[in-house]
Amino acid sequence: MSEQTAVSTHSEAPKLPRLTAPVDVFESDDHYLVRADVPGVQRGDIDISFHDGELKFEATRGAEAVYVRSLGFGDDVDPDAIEATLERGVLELQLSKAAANKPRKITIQA
Amino acid sequence: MLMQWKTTPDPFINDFRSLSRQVDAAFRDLFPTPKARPTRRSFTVEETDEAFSLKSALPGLSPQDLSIEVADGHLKLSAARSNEAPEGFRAIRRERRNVSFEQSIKLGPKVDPEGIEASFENGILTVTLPKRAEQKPRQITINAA
Repeated sequence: MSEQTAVSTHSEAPKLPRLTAPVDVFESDDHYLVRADVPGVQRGDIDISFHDGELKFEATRGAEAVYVRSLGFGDDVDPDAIEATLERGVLELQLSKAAANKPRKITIQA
Repeated sequence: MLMQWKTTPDPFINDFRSLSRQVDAAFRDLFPTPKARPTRRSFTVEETDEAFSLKSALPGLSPQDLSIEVADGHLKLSAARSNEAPEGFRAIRRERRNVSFEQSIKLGPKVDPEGIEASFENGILTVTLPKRAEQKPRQITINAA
């Protein structure tokens, strides 16, 4: 069962094996943090998008493989406040929760 | 098979499985799996006329997490990485494995132990083991009669 069979070949670029990047996802009161193992990938070779509540990335490891992943967050995330860093082969994405979804302390009025 | 990343179910919202996953994750955090026993690690080995090279993907490790030693005709490698939740965060999905390994590789007679070098770039460890001079192919010039 090869993952390559499902990949369309719409460009002339060599078809690289697509690998699912393993991720850890962490949550705090106001953020999500995604860490993905993408060894061998350089800074310029990562595409990250957030559309309709879906976080996606494709990270190309030289001429060897593409790490891909997609995670659903729904409307829980502020799409304008996503930060990405790449360090030692680990991609880290920090997503801010949408203001409406953050826990909020309600003060009882006197 | 469809593309893997398309089939990933929506993990976090409006989904009963999300709750069960969070409960699982909470339990895993409370009762972490016992420290993984050191395991063997796979290396990609390449050979050229000049050298052998060993490569292994070790994402997230810093050079300090890694020890490389040449002793008694062996190359000894060990490393550890634990994926702690950052301060103030709790884990809701865990797929990245902790890395812990110790491995000893016997050096063949072709390798020059003095010349072994290692580099670590973008989470990939490369150990270069140069061949001894007498092992390298050598062009023999035919002397004119």
